[in-house]
Amino acid sequence: MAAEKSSIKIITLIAADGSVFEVEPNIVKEMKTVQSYIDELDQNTVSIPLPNVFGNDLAMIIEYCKKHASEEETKEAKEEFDFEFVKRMKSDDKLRLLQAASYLNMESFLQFMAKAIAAEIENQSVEFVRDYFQIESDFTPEEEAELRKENEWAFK
Amino acid sequence: MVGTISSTNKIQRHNVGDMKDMISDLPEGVLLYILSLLPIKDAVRTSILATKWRNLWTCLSTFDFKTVCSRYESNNRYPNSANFLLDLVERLLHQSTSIQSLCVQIFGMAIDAQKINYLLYFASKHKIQCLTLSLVDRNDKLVALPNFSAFESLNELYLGLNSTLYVPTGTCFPRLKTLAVSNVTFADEKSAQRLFSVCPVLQELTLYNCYWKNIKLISITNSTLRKLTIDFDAKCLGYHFDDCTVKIDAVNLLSLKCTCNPTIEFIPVNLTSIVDAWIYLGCHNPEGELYAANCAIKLLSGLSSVKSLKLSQDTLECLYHAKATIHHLPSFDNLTHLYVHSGNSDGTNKVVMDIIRKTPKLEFLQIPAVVLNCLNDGDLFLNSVPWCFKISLNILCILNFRGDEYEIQFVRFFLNNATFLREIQLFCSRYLLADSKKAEDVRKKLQHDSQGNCVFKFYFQLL
Repeated sequence: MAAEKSSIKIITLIAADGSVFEVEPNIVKEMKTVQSYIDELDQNTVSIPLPNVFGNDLAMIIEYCKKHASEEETKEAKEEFDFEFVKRMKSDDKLRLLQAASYLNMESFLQFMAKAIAAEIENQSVEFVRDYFQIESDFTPEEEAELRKENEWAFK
Repeated sequence: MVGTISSTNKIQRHNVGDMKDMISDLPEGVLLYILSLLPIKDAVRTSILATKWRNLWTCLSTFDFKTVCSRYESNNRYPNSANFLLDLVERLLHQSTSIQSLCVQIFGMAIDAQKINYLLYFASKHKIQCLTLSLVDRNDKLVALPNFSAFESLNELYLGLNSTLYVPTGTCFPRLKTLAVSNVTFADEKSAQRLFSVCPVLQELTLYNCYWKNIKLISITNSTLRKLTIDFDAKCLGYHFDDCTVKIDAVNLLSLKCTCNPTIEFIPVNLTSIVDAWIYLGCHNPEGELYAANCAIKLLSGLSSVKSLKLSQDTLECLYHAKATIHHLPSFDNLTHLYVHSGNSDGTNKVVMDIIRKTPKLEFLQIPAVVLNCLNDGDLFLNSVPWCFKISLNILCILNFRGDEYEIQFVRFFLNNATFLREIQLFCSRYLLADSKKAEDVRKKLQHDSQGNCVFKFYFQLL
């Protein structure tokens, strides 16, 4: 059975919008959600639908995984890639990718996106953060005033 | 064969197109991870984003609070933020069950000591592993550890109080491995003893500037202690220079680092496991010279088991004033490495020689420089070559080497008398480095003299 598993050559990932990605098994290792399906099956080829991830996002995730799975790339080249990777993203992209990383259960990519997001909201006002995350407050103005007073140290 | 997984329970579909607040849907662990990357002030502010976020920050495990209260805050309009912070931390301690590491640093004077005492009391009820409490500005507050309280999980404690510390009976730290106390005035002698005896598994202790007010003796009695660092500057001392004593009774102590005024009297007891010692006694006032010398002798006498000893120039100068009693030093039977740092004078060279005569197994000797004419002084070497030269010395290291003739003679003396010398390390001064012809000459001369029995290593001296 172990031999059969190792004979899997190509994994097909199908994104929410129907776009199809064919990748080598080592690329999906980091995606624990996908990996657990592969482990359950013993077929040569697997095709996995990912209804919670858009094609554009999946393409980016695969690009990231390919770069980081590569043994030829130096540490510096990977860091340079990470830097450019984040630079070309809008905040919406980061949030969607964070969600995708959470859903695909990708530990290091999740941490990477969380860091990118934390860097954007660091030292920002509550209003900015609410806007950034598109959170609608469910506090009454009185409740909010009360909380501000309680945690006054953080609002000075 | 193509295997296709259809949407199952495990892969749940949700609205990918809906951007409405998708952050709050993420698992709490992910949100907490983001909060953990933010400065604590930002994390606390997320409490008013929405109900879901209200207490989320209190579930973090590491809290690093720092506050600066400026002088402008002393008026009523901006009451002092240090006290706001202490209130916040107290509420956190009531609410959270997940704190592993808590650090509270306050720059500014206007704190309420009672709030600090509460903080310590509530912290003792938590499973905190690492606690740092640092009041950066000097104040006249009295901070008391909670009595009859055990800090059950505490592993590391850093107390930088700039205040008076009272240690009552019954406080204990059953798991504390690392303790650092800085800028503390002990409330009484009992406090200065208790703190170190209520830590049954303590391994590392650092005392940085403890003030000799209210006390004459700091007593460190601890059988598990492995590493002790004492760093007191001159302003720690009381009115009388001969009134300050540190007793160290630590049978398992491996490493001791002392940087302090030489008029502090050390009483070393049972230091039979000691391996490394750094003794850097600072400058002293002329009236206490002899007293300081005897203190230094007493301290070194307690370190006779040491394997590696590092001495500062000041320490040697101190010992020089004890010429009459230096022969009371015990034999350092385990000492293999002796480092003498910085400076040099005829007097201290004699002291170094006196020590070398007490080290029958010395293998490595580092000296700060060669003193001019030191070979002409009959006492120094020529009358009797130290025993270790004949049986154990194999590496000599000389700092500030200039390549002058008297230095070469000095090295030659070692080549002739140290039977097992196999390596000489010369840290060249910039004068020698600047003169490449001289450097080459020196190298040739020395290599010729050693007849291949000894390796010379030349280094740049980094100043």
